Amino acid sequence: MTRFEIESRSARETKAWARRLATLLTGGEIIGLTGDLGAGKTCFVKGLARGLGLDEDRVLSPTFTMIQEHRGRFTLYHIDLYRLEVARLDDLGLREYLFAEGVAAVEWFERLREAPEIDYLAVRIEYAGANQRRIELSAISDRYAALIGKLKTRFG
Amino acid sequence: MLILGIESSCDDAACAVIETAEPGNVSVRASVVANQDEIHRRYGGVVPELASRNHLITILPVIEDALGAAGCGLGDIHGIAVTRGPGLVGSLLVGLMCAKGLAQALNLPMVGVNHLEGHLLAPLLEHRITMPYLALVVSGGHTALFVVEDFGKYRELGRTRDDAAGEAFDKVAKLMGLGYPGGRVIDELSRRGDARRIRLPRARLRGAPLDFSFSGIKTAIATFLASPDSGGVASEDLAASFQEAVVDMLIRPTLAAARNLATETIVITGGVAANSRLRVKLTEAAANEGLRVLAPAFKFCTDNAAMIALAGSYRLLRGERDALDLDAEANLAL
Repeated sequence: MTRFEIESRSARETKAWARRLATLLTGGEIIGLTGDLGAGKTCFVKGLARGLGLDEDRVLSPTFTMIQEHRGRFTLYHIDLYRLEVARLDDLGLREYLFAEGVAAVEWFERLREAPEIDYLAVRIEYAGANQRRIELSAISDRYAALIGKLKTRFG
Repeated sequence: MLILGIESSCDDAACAVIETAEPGNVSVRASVVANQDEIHRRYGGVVPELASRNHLITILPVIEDALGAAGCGLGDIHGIAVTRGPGLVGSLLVGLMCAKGLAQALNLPMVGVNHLEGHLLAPLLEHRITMPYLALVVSGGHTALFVVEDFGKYRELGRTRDDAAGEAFDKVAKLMGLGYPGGRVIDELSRRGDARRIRLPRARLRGAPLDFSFSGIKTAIATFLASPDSGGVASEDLAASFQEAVVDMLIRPTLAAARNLATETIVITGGVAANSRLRVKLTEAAANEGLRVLAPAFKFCTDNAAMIALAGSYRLLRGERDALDLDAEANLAL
């Protein structure tokens, strides 16, 4: 497994790292976000949106609607499984978002029953103080390991 | 003119019959809502796929109930208004397809309505209000300020940059280990609490005084609960302190917006408009500036079809109609 650990000192830094990551995306990626309430998952997705050339102010918490689409360089599918204890791909029609040409950013990804079978970039955000966060990117597959490698060499 | 309204943008399937002869002057003959709370409660919120499947079962009986309660039949209806967005696409489609079928079979004009427009106009179901007026739409999915200048003329002044206020209530209730729906639980708990017990930040967005942000307060509560200080604080006091902060963060932009408008009325609508502290504190604060606050009856604050019929009525009265290839739009803008 390939890992990259980032110490973020503010929401601004968290967004900046997400923005850098977004500049490396080529479409078709799945980013699975985990972390407690208030950790900064939506904040991270705002950064992704910015890096994809989208208006980050339009990226709102998708908790209520579960899925929000933002069209840009790629379509960003912002998905939130918070309200589901266990989500299954077919229950929500999630396949068409996850396995599309766009970028899927899924909050509370661990609640997806099929998560272990899916190839994705894991982003775990943990509290490390009031404003500080520990962000860990990890990947099993070569594809996402390469992505982490690029992020490290260019920005690390 | 008798108008049939159909609403199915989220988890409620609703139908209403209203009577109107001029825009803004309506009487509600019937308003029926089939609520799916029981189905979604165990998920702590709406599950899109379940909502649309259930709409398929309930939509026709709901329409029949509304017609029955209004004491009329489909043959008496002069026009149909239906929600076409924003909302969950699967849910929207059920109501929209049903409206199209009725319009085609009965040769009636049909208009598609923006769900938010329904909320903005909902107070007119019970009150005569001079336009322009200011509307604060505040619910689980929306938090925004609009000026209602005229029928069909709405200007967004501000909105949330992250979480909706209702979502903040639900998530903080969950953090505190309270039940669902969080808004009602926190409202009740707060009545016995001291709102000054804990100092919480009131987010203010630089350069955007009419926008809202509720993710910071959620994080502040999470951080507080994880700190050693939380041990000695009663949940009543924490709930009250949180609620007071949210209410303050709703009131400040609302009053700032009202000051710049030639209006005497502020309307609050949406599920969070039921919050007792918001009603009291906003009413007091507005009264100090010579403004009155109106909130629709609770049944018209939450999703209903009477407001949709009303929002479609001014176009139907003008003889307008939408084509039957009208599409549902999840992110429909106002």
